Amino acid sequence: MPHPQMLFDLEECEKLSSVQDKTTFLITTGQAHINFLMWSIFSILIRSKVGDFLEHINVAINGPDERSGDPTLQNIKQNFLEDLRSLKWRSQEDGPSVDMPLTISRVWSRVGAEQSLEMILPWVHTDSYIYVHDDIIWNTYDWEKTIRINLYKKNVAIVCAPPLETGDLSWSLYEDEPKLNFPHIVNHCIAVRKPILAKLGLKWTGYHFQNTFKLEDRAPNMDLFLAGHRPRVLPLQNTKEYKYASYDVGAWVLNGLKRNGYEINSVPNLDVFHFVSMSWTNKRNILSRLEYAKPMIERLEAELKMFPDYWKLYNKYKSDIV
Amino acid sequence: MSLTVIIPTNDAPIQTLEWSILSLLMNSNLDNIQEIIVSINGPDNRTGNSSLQDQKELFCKKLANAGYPITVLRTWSRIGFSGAVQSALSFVKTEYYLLMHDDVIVLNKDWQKELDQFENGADAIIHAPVFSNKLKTAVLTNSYKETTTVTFLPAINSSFSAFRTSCNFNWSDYYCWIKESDYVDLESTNSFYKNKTKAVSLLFRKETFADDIKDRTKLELNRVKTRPELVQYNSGSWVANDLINSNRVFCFSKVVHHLEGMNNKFKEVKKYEVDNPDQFVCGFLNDLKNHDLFKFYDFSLPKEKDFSSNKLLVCVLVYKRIENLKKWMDIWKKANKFGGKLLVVQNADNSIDCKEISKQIDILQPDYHWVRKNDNESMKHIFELLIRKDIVDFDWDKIVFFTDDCIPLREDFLMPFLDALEDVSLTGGVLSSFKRDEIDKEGYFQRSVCLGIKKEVLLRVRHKAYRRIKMRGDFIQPSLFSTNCERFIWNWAKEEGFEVGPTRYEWSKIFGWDCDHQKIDDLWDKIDLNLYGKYNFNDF
Repeated sequence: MPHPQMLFDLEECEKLSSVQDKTTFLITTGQAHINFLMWSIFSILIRSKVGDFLEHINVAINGPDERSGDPTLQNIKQNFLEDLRSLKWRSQEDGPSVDMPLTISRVWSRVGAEQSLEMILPWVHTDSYIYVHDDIIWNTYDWEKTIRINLYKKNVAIVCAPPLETGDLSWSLYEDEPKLNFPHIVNHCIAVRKPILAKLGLKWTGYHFQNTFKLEDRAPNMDLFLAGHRPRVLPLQNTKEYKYASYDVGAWVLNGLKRNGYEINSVPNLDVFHFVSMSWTNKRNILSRLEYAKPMIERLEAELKMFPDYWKLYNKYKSDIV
Repeated sequence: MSLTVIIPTNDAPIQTLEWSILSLLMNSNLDNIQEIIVSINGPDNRTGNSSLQDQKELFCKKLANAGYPITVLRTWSRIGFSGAVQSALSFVKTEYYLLMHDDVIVLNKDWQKELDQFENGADAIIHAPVFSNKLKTAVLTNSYKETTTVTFLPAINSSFSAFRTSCNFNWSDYYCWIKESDYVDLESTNSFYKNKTKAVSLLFRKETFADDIKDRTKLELNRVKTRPELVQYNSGSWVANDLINSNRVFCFSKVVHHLEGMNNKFKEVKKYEVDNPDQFVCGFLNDLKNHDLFKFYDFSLPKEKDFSSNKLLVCVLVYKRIENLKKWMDIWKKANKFGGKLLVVQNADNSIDCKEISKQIDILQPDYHWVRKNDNESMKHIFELLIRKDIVDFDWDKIVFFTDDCIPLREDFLMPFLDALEDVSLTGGVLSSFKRDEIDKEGYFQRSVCLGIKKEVLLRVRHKAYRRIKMRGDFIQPSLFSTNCERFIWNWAKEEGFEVGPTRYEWSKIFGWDCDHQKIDDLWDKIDLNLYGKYNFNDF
């Protein structure tokens, strides 16, 4: 249906201006050790098919500048990515190769995944994107067809690596005061149809703020409020005023898609291992996850050895994590 | 009121970015600016030379390290205004943001007072012109000579404009190719903008910008042309649509000077404009000289050029191409004349056509109008002027002459001639076929289209001209002289010991266009699209 003044509506503009049936990987990286970033990128590169669904990879580096901290880690990540960018992308030892489909973005004196994700989204020129964290290992081969079939369905806006997880409408204590938490999408690996989110004006930005409010004042029709979030609702407290509200990454996307009748599904058999919180968790957790992932890392390294230029680069930047 | 400033930058010269940022810092109360996000985009080393962007990053970091509220954001191997804006928007944490181009000079401190319009309900405060383009359809030709019919949607001007963050405006640009089966209702769209024109012009009217706004608020097409093959939504098209529908828009007064298009212009033009800053830039640089921020400026101040002692005569030769002359005069009226006077030389016979053209030339009101008998020896007029004291009433010392197929494209089109005449006695090149590498080659054919000459040169070579044109034995066919005028005079001047040389912009279509003979390009549409200069003709 033509737009009354603009000839095409926003969803059509997005579709017609994009490379169709292709995807862009988006990775944001901050404080996590560089090994995690390398495992994430190399596992995607060598387990995807050149010329197939994967069109491009955009990586956003965020972190301090020299006024506000030590940017050494981010500088090293930039160097690694620039070195990687100078190589060819091959996913089979003797297979076809193309220029490395890599775009690097960087912001100084800003920290946080969601703003960095929004920062690189405008440069996506495909009609879908796959957002992955910088601490994953892509374990699935021949994944392209599976994601395509599940993603390009009517009323499907997002698919993700299983399990499909969303946070709950819940409350918790923050600095000994009640905080209201809204449901959001757990997003270590999500494939998204960009035109749908653009049409609905949905952003991944999270909001976490201090504000004193009574639940019944903000939600006079409590049944309607809760119905909008079911089944992801845990018991809420209403004896004290809330002092904080938290809309984590994807809370508004989840809400917007739900209100407009779009689905978020998980993709069966898509195996993407997530280390979880490697940017900010403690040493014990890191060691535990590394131990768990050891066979996956060893398998990835064995495959990387078959690509001498990748293997050389990997060893140039690989270092001890703890 | 707290504000975030977003400055996207890619290929504009480092100087203009420094002017923009330093003029903003100089003319702002920084207590009310949360941060200035400079969003740098451009090639990586595979796809181009990233040294310009590296320089920009260094300059911004130098300011940030000195305590100025600068945030740097950079993307390699991506280019585009809309992407850079949308990227930066993700970091905006203030109620309002200001988009500022990287070639804008903030003129004074008053601009922040005008943000009070937000308290009156504005969603946007726009600097004139309100729209960077109107609804229009044009046929574009690419370098492979393929043509595309493109419809452009109106886009809001973002050169220096503030917006309410919560409006969530979409600055993306889109390029939609139309399939045969697509229904395109251009008539309805045109009617919409036509109906809105009056409301929009009333809304945006302000005394200081009346003319400009009148021009740019006429949004609708004069006529709906052929069905487009491509619909182009420039960055700001969707914002324009939102704002036209909401009507919650106000205008800045003249608080900035916009150099315009410094990312897109030919590199020669960029260099020229940086080397020859206009009065606004010069004024700013003079102020900067006495400011603490001057230590961050990486360049020396330009030498001031003074052409006030020139006694310049500008001469246009016309036969029957009155439409070309009208276009010429339109530009001349807006141009920097450097104190020059305009003489229109009309080669005329006794035909009714020529008499009618003569009347039309008088209506155009050049300073002087000389009706000269058409003898097919047209270029002789420059020598005849030396003895015909009755034609112009002042003692000119330099002449820049043009044929009527040379259409200037910029308001400062005389500058390259005057600049060159500081060093040499005869120059050519802008709007002409002068080509630096080939001018002295044997047998090189010159087109007679324009030259800048000191009078003393003409006085010294006129005997050669008359002998060669009139005398038997050493005779040059009049038509041959006319078509090779530049080459003959060039050589005679050299023989007489004068320094001759092209301008720095020879063989260039930046300052003007030889519309009759350079048929490799048809720039009429491109003039309108403002691709080749500052002019924006809306009467196509």
